[in-house]
Amino acid sequence: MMKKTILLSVLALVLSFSQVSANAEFEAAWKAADEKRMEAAAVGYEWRDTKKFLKQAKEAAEQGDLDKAMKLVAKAHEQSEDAITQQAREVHLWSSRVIR
Amino acid sequence: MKKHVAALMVLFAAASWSMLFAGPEDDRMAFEKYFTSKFPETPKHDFINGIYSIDPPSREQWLEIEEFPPYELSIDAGRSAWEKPFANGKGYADCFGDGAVRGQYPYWDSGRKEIITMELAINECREANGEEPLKYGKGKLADISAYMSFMSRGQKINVIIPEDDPDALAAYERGKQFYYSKRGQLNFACIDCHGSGSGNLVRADRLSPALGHVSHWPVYRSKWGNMGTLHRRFGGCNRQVRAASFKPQSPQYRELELFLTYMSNGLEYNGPGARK
Amino acid sequence: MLKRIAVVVLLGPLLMLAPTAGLVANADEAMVALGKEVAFDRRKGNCLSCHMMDNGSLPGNQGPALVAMKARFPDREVLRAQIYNPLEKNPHSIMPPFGLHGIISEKEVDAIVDYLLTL
Ligand code: HEC
Ligand code: HEC
Repeated sequence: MMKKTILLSVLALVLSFSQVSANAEFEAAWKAADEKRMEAAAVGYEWRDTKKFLKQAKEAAEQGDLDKAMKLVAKAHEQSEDAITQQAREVHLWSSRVIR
Repeated sequence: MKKHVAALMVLFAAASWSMLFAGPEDDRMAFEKYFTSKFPETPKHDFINGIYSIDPPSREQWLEIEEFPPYELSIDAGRSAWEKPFANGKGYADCFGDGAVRGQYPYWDSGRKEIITMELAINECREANGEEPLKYGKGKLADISAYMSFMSRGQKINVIIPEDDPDALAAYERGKQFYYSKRGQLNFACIDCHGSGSGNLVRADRLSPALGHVSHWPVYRSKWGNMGTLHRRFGGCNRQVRAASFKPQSPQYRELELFLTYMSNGLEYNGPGARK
Repeated sequence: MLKRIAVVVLLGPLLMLAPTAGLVANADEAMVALGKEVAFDRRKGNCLSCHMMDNGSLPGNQGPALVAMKARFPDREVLRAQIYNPLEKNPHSIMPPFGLHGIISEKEVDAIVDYLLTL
């Protein structure tokens, strides 16, 4: 009886730890993605849907769907990286498009 | 020999200088020529009518719409607001005379080191008289703007970039860079659709030429079901290529307005307008 | 006896192949169908807004008609690259970089290529 209780509580503890660490992992990834978004915005290149994905990620996490939340964060992060690359590319390209 | 080399070098430097730093007026002449050559059927003064200047079928429909213009209610609302005194007893007329001032905007204010658009000036007039600023983009501000634009019909577009102020030229250049840069997930520049793409079909819609794009604001747009300012349209065009839009009257959109309006110098203001 | 074994040995692989070949054909068809769906979907490929293709209604005219693809694109990778990132060939292209910018997934890019090669 005693043994069983201990076993169960240890199990519960381990589970909640992994829950906590998964949540912490999500929070960190979300923060990094939001910082990337601001980096893209700072050079004037934020994409339209990035903020929406970050919002949806938060909502998914609140509902306990960390898998979906992490996927959305990854998508947002990638968008901002692509936007920053796009800006770097365009700095060199735009002037050859000017009507002369 | 040495002399020749030196002369050549000076010549080369001068040539590359002028190639690198074509001034706004060179830009404008090339811009205008590009569109007048691309659409030789369209008289230059007609480009202020946007897509209807190059697409006869839709022009027919538009002319019918113009018989009972959907922007008339907005002009009326703007007139009422114009005539209603502020709480301090003053009114818009104390800032803008009879309101026929469209042709003075946008301009570079060398003292403030920024671009002043007509919408910005309307809110500054309100705030100077103790009134709350209006929301940019649509609604009451668009009504006042519609009334003032209506009073100003026929005035010439005449943006001046003061040559003695490098900051003015820099602001113009930023607007130009914005216009020619691809952005958004779909990777489009304004010029992709309204320059090389103008006249082309996107599904059932034809793309309008950029020349004259700034002449007829605010616009009653059927798709909006109400009036919107030029900056509202900028926002829509940014978002449709999946780029985040900027706020109306943000520095970015004011610079874009400065550049784009300069490109139409010499054409007439004919706002407010009606568009699909 | 020996004969029987020979028959089994010979036929065995064939019998095993038959159902897989069927599967492959189905998978191909599924990919082609997916490709067509993605190509026509306005929120995904929206290829029709610029290309005439496959009798789609109200095509735009900004890009060339997508016809005889197999003959014009003997190298599948060249075609895939045009869909994945047209900027590689022409940095000023107005065709969106569907793969590079994650507008559609890798699988959807492959599906569109499968579909295009049937045109
Ligand atoms: C993907 C194509 C596309 C891009 C890129 C694009 N636009 Fe547009 N734009 C349109 C369409 C479609 C319309 C509505 C039909 C028309 O007038 O061309 C329009 C309309 C406009 C109008 C109103 C024209 C009128 O006569 O009232 C303005 C002004 C404008 N765009 C400015 C811009 C600016 C500035 C940019 C760059 C920030 C831009 N557009 C980028 C497609 C585009
Ligand atoms: C905004 C317009 C636009 C859209 C949308 C677009 N394309 Fe294109 N496409 C072009 C243009 C313009 C070219 C000409 C080459 C270039 O500039 O990249 C082209 C070229 C191509 C080519 C090469 C054709 C040839 O004959 O060499 C293929 C294949 C192609 N596009 C497929 C697609 C597919 C598939 C889609 C949808 C997933 C698509 N395009 C969407 C504009 C577009």
